[in-house]
Amino acid sequence: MRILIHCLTMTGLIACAASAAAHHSFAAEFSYELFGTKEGKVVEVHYVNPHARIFFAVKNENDEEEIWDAQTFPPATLLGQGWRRGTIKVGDRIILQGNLGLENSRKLWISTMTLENGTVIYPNGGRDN
Amino acid sequence: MIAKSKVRVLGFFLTVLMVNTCLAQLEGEWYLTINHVAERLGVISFERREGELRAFVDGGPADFDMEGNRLEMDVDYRNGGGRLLSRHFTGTLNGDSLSGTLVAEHDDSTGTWLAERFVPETALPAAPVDLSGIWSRISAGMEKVFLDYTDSAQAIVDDYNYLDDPGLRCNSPGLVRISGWPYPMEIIQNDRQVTILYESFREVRRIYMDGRDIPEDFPASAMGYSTGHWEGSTLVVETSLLKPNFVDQAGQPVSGNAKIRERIVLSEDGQNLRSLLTLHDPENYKMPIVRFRQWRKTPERTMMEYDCDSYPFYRGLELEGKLGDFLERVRQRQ
Repeated sequence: MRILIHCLTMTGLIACAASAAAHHSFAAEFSYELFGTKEGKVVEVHYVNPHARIFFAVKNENDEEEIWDAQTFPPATLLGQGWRRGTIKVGDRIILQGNLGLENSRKLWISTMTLENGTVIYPNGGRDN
Repeated sequence: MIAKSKVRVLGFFLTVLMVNTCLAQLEGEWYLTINHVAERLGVISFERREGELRAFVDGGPADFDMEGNRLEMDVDYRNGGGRLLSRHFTGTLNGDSLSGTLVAEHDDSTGTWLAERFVPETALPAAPVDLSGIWSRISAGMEKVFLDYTDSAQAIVDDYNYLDDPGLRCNSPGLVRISGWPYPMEIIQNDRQVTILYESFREVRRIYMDGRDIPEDFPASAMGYSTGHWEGSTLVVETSLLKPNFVDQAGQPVSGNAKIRERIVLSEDGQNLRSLLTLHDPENYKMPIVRFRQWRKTPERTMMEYDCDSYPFYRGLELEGKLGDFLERVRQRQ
């Protein structure tokens, strides 16, 4: 004999789906499937909690400048990966790879950062989110 | 022919009896330990509601099946990035122990689990232990996502937007979340007070051990007002006067009338600390919410300043064209 006891109702499942899309600043903002590479010039750099953040200017296919918003882990994590305050400065050229923002937003969660001198930094040691 | 029918009927009743016996044996609370990437702790409770046995993990409903003494159960959770995931548990009941294996369905990674029946604590005379030092989080527990909401809490969860997270604007996310945040805490202790300095959000917690009552007219705060006492070597902390906040980043609310009880236990070798946090908030949850926290002693660490700046949050919204909508949302919620 098989006793089935289901606690989640259909209403609950719908609530699950809705909440999944509106949860964490990563899962709610960035795609787990879409990745991209963007090269540009640093406009602002914020080495702060809750997330370090870089705003950088990228030329699009029409040669127009667009400001992209890149986020990554907090300084406590970045320190262990060799990314210190002053590692990048306004005006530096960088190449960022990572998860792209949802809804075609100009956002990127940094998985690797390549500096002008060729140094590659992995903010979370190469682990997934 | 009659004999065969009798055997079938007897077999049916024996099967029903066995299943009902196993279900009856499940009733009550069980401490859960899973090993899946890391060790995580939780609580399973089996409660009879409207004549039906229901499973709850950390205070949230979980689907389970029982066939003979074999149990299957699904428990939702989120990874560090906030992705909603699920673990499928299979195992067997053997007296006062449930154990088995689990698989995370998104990547087929596997682990093991063990649940042992909760044994009520007996009253013990105070036997304080030294908790002082710097502690780093090992695990924030099972942290089941979907909980046993009241209608008003469900409405808050449904309306929640990730931009409502106070931590994104450098405001304290409150005691429940900060206790599980992946940054160290420093404990300073004397007979009258246990002080916890959290690196996260520079929060400070004073746990008064001098026998005072929690005042009724003291201002509410993110970390609340805490009093503590020793039950044997367990530090028991009661907290109220909390500002409304969230249980985690999915918008599960904590009301201003919530009360929190923590049972904090030092391991025998003095190197690990474990806290069972129970949130009693009947405005929002039909049963108490449980969160297990674990830390290890890390004297080699130095506490850092939690240098937080809300400017990038607002600048990002401005670039996305969402700043006006966000400000309007804040206005409407006041």
